[in-house]
Amino acid sequence: MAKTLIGDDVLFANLAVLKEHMNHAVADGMRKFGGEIETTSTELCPVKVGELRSRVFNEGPLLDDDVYIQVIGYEKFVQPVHNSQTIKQALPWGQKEPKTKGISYAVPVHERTYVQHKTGEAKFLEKAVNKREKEFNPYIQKILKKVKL
Amino acid sequence: MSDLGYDLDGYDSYHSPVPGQSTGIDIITKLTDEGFGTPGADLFLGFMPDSLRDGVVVMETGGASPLETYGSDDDHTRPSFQILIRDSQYGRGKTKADKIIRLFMKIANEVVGNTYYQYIFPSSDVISLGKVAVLDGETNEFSTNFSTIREV
Repeated sequence: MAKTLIGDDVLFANLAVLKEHMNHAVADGMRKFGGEIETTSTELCPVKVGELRSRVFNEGPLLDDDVYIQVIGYEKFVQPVHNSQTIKQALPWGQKEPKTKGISYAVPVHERTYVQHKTGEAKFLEKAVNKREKEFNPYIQKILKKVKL
Repeated sequence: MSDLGYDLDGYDSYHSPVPGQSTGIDIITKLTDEGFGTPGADLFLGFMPDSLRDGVVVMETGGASPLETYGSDDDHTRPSFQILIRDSQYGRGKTKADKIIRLFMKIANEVVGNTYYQYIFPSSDVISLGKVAVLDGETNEFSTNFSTIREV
């Protein structure tokens, strides 16, 4: 015969607390895993003057409705440019080096897969995500197992 | 040289077990069939000619790890590819890039080239890379990216 050890109210209250703890644990895990991808991506990021690597960011987790989103990217505070001369300045294979800190050039460096870099490579963010993708679920599972009331 | 105008030597990696099964060649075949260019003239695989002002280039960009089913021969790989579009007129280049996105976003459970694809899915919209210097001036460049799941 089953025994009731605690009342329903206490059980539901504890489950609510556990849910909250799990949410916090997952959010914390996402931020840390984002940092891992950030590190891997930075290692793959081409270096010419070192500016691009310094522009990496790992933001979040952001709560969108009931979905947590972790954003890893480059050049959060740098505005894209549309002037052709300025873009040419920013190109890794253009005539001039990207010396101006306000110029956005992460997207062309990421997308121009035909450009040979002495250090790093194109698709530095995409490849970092592909490389670490399989580690995410086991990592979150490991974190959730440690969650206590 | 193959009838696509490419040297197929070296297509012996894990993703391309035999010549003709490379994702890049499948995509080049599809683009040729749909009239997006002529291989060797304005359609290229794996490299960007310095002088290319108007044309399309397919790059194989790696992809996610394979999906393996233990005890089954039905293994799938998940290669990704990139299509770079260059055009001396911005609007024409953008339109061509949009058409290419729409061409590949409709592919599911279909043979493309020599290979059966469960799906081909754009992993980004058209990205304008701005002006790029070519040997005799400059041109506009656009990037599109795709993920796939295909049978090995």
